[in-house]
Parts: sequence; structure tokens; C-alpha cells
Amino acid sequence: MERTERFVKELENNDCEVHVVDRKSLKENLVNYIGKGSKVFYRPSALIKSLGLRDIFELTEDFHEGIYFGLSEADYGIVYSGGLVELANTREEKLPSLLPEVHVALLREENIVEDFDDLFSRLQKPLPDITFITGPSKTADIEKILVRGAHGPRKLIVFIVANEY
Amino acid sequence: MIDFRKNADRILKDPVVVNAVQRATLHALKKREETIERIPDFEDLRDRARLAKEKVIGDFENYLKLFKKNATENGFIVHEAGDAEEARNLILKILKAHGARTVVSSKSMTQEEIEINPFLESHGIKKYETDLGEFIVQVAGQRPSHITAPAIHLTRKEIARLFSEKLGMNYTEDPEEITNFARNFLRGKYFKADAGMSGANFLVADTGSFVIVENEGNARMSTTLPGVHIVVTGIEKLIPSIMDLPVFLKILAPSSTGQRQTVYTSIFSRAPEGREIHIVLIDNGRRRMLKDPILREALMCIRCGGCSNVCPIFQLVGGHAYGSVYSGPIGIIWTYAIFGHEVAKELPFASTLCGACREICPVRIDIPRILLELRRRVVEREGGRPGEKILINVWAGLMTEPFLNKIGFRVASKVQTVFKKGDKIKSLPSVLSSWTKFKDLEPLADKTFRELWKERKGS
Amino acid sequence: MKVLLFPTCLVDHIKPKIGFDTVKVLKHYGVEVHVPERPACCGQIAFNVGYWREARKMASSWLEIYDQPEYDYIVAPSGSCVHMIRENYEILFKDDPEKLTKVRRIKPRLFELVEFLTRILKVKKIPSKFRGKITYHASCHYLRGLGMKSEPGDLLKNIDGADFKPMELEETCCGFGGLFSLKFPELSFKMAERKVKSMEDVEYLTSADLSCLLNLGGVLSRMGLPIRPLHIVEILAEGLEDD
Repeated sequence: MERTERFVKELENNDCEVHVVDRKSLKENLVNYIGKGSKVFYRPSALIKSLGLRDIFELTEDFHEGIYFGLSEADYGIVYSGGLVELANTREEKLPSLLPEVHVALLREENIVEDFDDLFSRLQKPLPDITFITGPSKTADIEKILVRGAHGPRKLIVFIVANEY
Repeated sequence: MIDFRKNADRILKDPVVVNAVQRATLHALKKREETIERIPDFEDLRDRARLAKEKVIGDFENYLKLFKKNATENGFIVHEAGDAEEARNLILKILKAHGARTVVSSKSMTQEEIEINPFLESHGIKKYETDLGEFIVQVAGQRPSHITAPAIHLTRKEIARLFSEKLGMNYTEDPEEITNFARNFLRGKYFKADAGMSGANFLVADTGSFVIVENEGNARMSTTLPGVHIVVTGIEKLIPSIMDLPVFLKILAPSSTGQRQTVYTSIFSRAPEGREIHIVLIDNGRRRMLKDPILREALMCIRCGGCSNVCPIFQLVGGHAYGSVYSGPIGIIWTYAIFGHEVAKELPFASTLCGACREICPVRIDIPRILLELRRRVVEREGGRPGEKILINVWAGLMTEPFLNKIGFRVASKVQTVFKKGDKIKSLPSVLSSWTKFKDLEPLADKTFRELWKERKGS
Repeated sequence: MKVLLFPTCLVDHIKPKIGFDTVKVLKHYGVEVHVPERPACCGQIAFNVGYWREARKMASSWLEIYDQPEYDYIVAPSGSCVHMIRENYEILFKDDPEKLTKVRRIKPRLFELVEFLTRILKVKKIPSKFRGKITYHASCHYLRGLGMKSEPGDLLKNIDGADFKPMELEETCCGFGGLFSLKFPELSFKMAERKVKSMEDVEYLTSADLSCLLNLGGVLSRMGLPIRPLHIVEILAEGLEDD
């Protein structure tokens, strides 16, 4: 899909690692990437639950230091900014994309929208909390030299789950 | 009184700072250019942003009322503070109610404006700045020198020395390792802090939301991890609608750091159960600005720092020369408006009125026009400086009275021969000496153009 | 076509040659030029540092001299003076309807020289005989106030013997700023110095404002650099037939 291609490009511009995978190979990709038996701090979603990851990773909704991977499903992707949208209200929902060293984000292709306006017009009031995530945490506060992982993830990996036709 | 000249001259003697500031500002400008090239409707976005801000300023109290109503419905606890002192006491009261001893905070100019840190410190509350640049500046006991790059005046060597001396970091000059050290140091604080504080980039009237943009993730941490969150923000951050937010998000980062988008944008519209979120709305002179037909335009500022980056003066001396939390061209106006005439009366003159700030301002604030007005007010109140006043009055006389002009020109062109060396004037006395201190001066002609013209016509 | 020339106070008293070169260029295009006898300053030096009363005095006098409907245009060899009259006189006289009428009458007929050449006379190429390597400083009010961005460079590029070499910091302020240079001499110097250092391999520095040229020229002279400041009209008029 042309929109997806443009979205991937923008994500890559924003320093993200992007993989477009189909639903069937998603689990295998995650296992290959994260590694069997790893501890994963995650935010449950229907998609994630359906993958049956419990028997492969040590999944937890409680963060503690030393957990390397965060896993969550982004609610939307925005082509304009090349970023992910997280609709989350509680601390538990917000933290998997923030605290670990690496944030692995899943995004269903059908949830890629063109622009901010497309997103806001889809949301009902009262609004949930919305977080736009466009890349790994960054700083350039020391001599303008770019450093990834200022406070949040040093890496953002996005698995776009392709539409099935 | 802030002595800009003294501050600037001191900074100019430090080539390290001058170079660092120049590099940082030019870097941001270059990135801005590249980014804007990919935003074909950027000019239109600027107009729309301006229009949205004009709407707010034109009907301010109603938008504020709407925001307060919606924010309260969202479960936020909304407070209003008339001035800095009231704001400080309000914040202290909230912190005390939660028994807070340590606070983590993300970057907020408004917090700097009300000087909350020393106040909390004096009440036994330790507040950690968590934005890396702000953290560095805090450890150094200094002030930010740039709105989006607070520590640009410090080199990695200085930061390395600072962190190893004050925080016990194993000495390293590697920016990545230094950043990592700060990351780990502050991680500990987030989890233990009793409260989090932040500013806000936008207050959205029709949804009662507040919006924070950042790159590091420290604002997300500060606003999410501790048990209570206090937002400290100026009332001018209002925008009418959530549907206006995209426009602002599209102009802010490009104008500021030159990014297309900051890494994180957090829009808060709900207080989670069992967790208090306080919004402290600060006036501190803003309503006074609102009533001022010239100054009110400055309330549209979205604090991108673009005017600082492009200012040829800022590029040389950085933010510290301005002696205020608000630096650069728009900072002059804010400092004058918030901290008053006595403090800021020299600042409006610290500009050549070159207009680069007006050209870059994403909401098209006519900064030179406002500076001109402030200068007029300063001269009106102070009656002008003696030497300068004489100079200008003599000039006005010479330029309006043909007879005086003739005599004056004759006398001056005779007198100048005393100062002439070759075909240039190398030194002048009194008020004019500051010109010849660094530059040669072209002498007056032997005859004026008009005299010569008349002669030629006659011949 | 009849033009009233506003030589500007600086040209009048410091560099009369620029006035004559302006006349030369205008005459080359068949324009009839008149010069008022009385001295005049647009008043921006006072206006820009907050002395609006004194500025008003100069501006009133200027209006009295130049509000002459029998001339088609008023032309001045300075971007910043034209900008002052065009943009700031209405601020200065906002409570004086009589003066305001005059300002509005004059505004559409007032032009800076290169602006007049390129926008009114539609000149694309001037048969100047100038030889040498030139760089150009875009004075602030000229560039951002009048929007004169590419025109001066285009005219310079089209001079057959001239080698036009744009400088890196073309659009950066030279640090003059009227009394700014007296109030903040060190800073003003550093701004000029930075600009001067960005000029490479050129013989001449040109601009449409004498004030900037006096500032940059003063620094060039003090630093002993062999770059000569010339007003753009001095370059354009070089070798044109005199009357």
C-alpha cells in the first residue's frame, strides 16, 4: 500500500527500525527479535494476547529495573509525523513504551492515518490521554551531539502488521 | 537593572561560549530550512496558527473560562495565581498536602519565571530538573542560556568536570556516557519522587487538555511516575480547539530545533483514578499585556526560540546576556512586560531592528515594532540619556534648519581635520568615541551634495 | 518622467559622489532629476532609539520638502530611509490626519533606486563598465523591509566585467543599527567583524545602504583589509555617459 510505504519512510527518517510483516509471521519475528525466554514489560492488547506469547517470553505488566524490552501495540500511526499514537490513560498503560531500553511497537496497517486531523476527527470526547511517539528518546544538550536514550528507550522497533486481503 | 552591555561584553571575551552559541543556533537554523522544505504549506500553517492565537487574545476571558470548565470536568484541579508569590505559595501548599520532600520536574520557563526552585529549597523540598540541559545548568548553579538548548554555553569538558566533582561521575568527556550517567542518576529520582512538575506548551480550551512536547522522555517520566503532578503554566498558552493543535504541532518543532516533530507529544485529558493532577494557571503580568495594545501581540509567542536562533546578536552572546529567564528578541519584550521597566529598561535597545526575528517567527509577531514602542516608552519615562539626547536634538536641528545646516556643516568639516589621519577619522572624543574605538570613520565631505549640485547647475 | 531625488543625509554630507551617480543612472534612462535645496533626514536615527518627538520634527520637515505632486516619483539611494518613510511615518503621525494624508500621498511614489530601476523602469541589465570582484551585503531594512532580495544581485551579475561573488552571511545584519553601534560598540564591532571575515577573495563590498557600508568599511579600514566599500549605484554608474 502506497500510504504504508510513505509511513515507513517517515518512521525511518525518525530513527525507527521498521519491519512490515504479515499476521502469520508476526510471532516468529518477535521471537527472533526479542529472544526466547526474555523478560518483556508489556501493555496487553487484543492483538498481543492473540499471539500467545506467554509461553515464549516472561511477560509482565510490572516494570522493574533490568527489563530490556517493552512491548505494546500502538493505536494509530500518523504518516505526516512518521510517528505512533498511543491512547493510554493509566501509568501501567503508558510505561511500556517509555521505561525499557528497547521499545517494540506493533501497529496494524489499517490504523495508519494520513495526518493529525484524521486522528482527532476519529476520537470521541471525552478524549483519552494521547501520546505521539516519533522515534527513540533523544537529546543533543551536550554540544549539540545527538545521543539516543536520554531518558526513555534507546531504540524503537516498529512491526507493521500488514492488512490481509 | 539588567546591564545588557556589560553582560554582552563579558561574554564576548569568552570565545568558547561565543563559538558554542553560534554553532548551536546556526545548526538549528539549517535544520529548520531542511525541514520546512518538506512542508509545502508551512506559510499557510503560520497564518492559521496566528489566527488561532488572535482568536484567543480577542476573547481571552471566555476561552480561559471554557478551559477551566473542561479541565475541571476532566478531573484536573485548576488553580489560578495572580502573581509569582501567589503561585509559589499555591505550589508549596499542594506539595505539603502530599508530604512531598523531593520533586522531579521537566522543563518549564514559567517555573523559572516564578523562581520556584530556590523557594521550594528554602522550604526543605528538593526539586530535580530532569531535562538533561536543565539538569546540567542546575548542577552548575546557573541559568539556561537558550530556550530549547539550556546548556549550549557549556562544553563537554566543563560538564564532565562538573558531574565528576559534584555528582561523583567517573570522569568522561563522552557525551553518550555523560548522558547515560544523568539517565541513571535521574531514573533513581523519578521512582522515589513524591511529586512531578511540568510546564505546558498548550492549553486546549474546548477539551480542557494540556499538551507537553519534548525529546528526551523526561517529561513523560515526571508526569507519569510520581503520585501527584503539578502543571505550572502561563495563561497565554491557550489555544481554542483540539482541531487547532495539529497546526501548532506542525510549526513548533520545525521553528524550534528544526525537527519535523519532537520525539514525544503528550496530550493529557484525563486525571487517572486515585491520582491528582493540578494545573496552576499563572497571570503574573499577562493580563496587563493583554490590555496593552502593542504588547498583547507578544502573548502569541509559542516559545520556539526561533527568533533567538536567527538573531545576529543572540548568535554572538547567547541567552545569558539578557539576564533573564526570557532571552533573545521576544525575551526582551517578555522581560520588560513581566519584570517591569526598572529591571528591563536597557534591554529594548539590545537589537539592531534587523527584522530577522519577525521573518522567522512562526506566528508572525512583529517583534521590531514592539521593540520600537518599548524604546519610545523608555525614553518618555527616563527623558533620554543626556549625551544621546543632545546628539539627537543637535542632529534634528541640523537636518531641519537650512541655515544651521550650512554653518554646522562648515564648522564640523573644519573641526574634523584635527581628528583626521589620512582620509579617515581614527578617534573621536566624548559620546562619539565609542564609534572610533573599533572602527574608522569616514569624514564629512568638503561640500555637501546639494552645494555641489547647485554649483554644477549654475555652471 | 520627473523624479525628485532624496539624497539622504549621509550621502549629502559624507559621500556626494553617490548622489551624482544616482543622477547619472537615472538620466541614463531618460529621467529628469530634481534636487531640493533644503537639507533633509528621514528621522530614523531618532525614531529607532525612541526619540519620536525629534523624529517627528525631521519627518515633518521631510514631508514638507518632498510632498510635491508635480513629480512622478521620489527616489533615494537608501533602502533603510525608504523603509522608514514607507513603514514608520504612519506610526509616527497616527494622530495627525493632515500629515497622514501627505504620507499616504507620497508612499506609492517613493522608491529606493534599485527598486525604482528594476520594478518601475524594468531594467534587467545596466551597461556599466565596472571591473572587479564584488560581494554584496543585503542591508536589513532593504531586504526584509522592502523585500529586495534577488534584484541587486541580478543587476550586479549582469555587469559584463564584474565578477559577482555572494558572501555566506549576505543576509546577516552588519551590526550598525543606528545608535546601536554607539550604545554597544563592542558587540556592534563583533557583528561587523564576523561579516567581514566571511568575505573571501573580493575587491569590493557593495550594498544599497551607505550606513552599513560606513560601518563595514570602518571595520575593513581598521583591520587593514584591502576590500573597498562602494555603494551599489557607484558600481552601476561606472562608465555610463555623463550628461
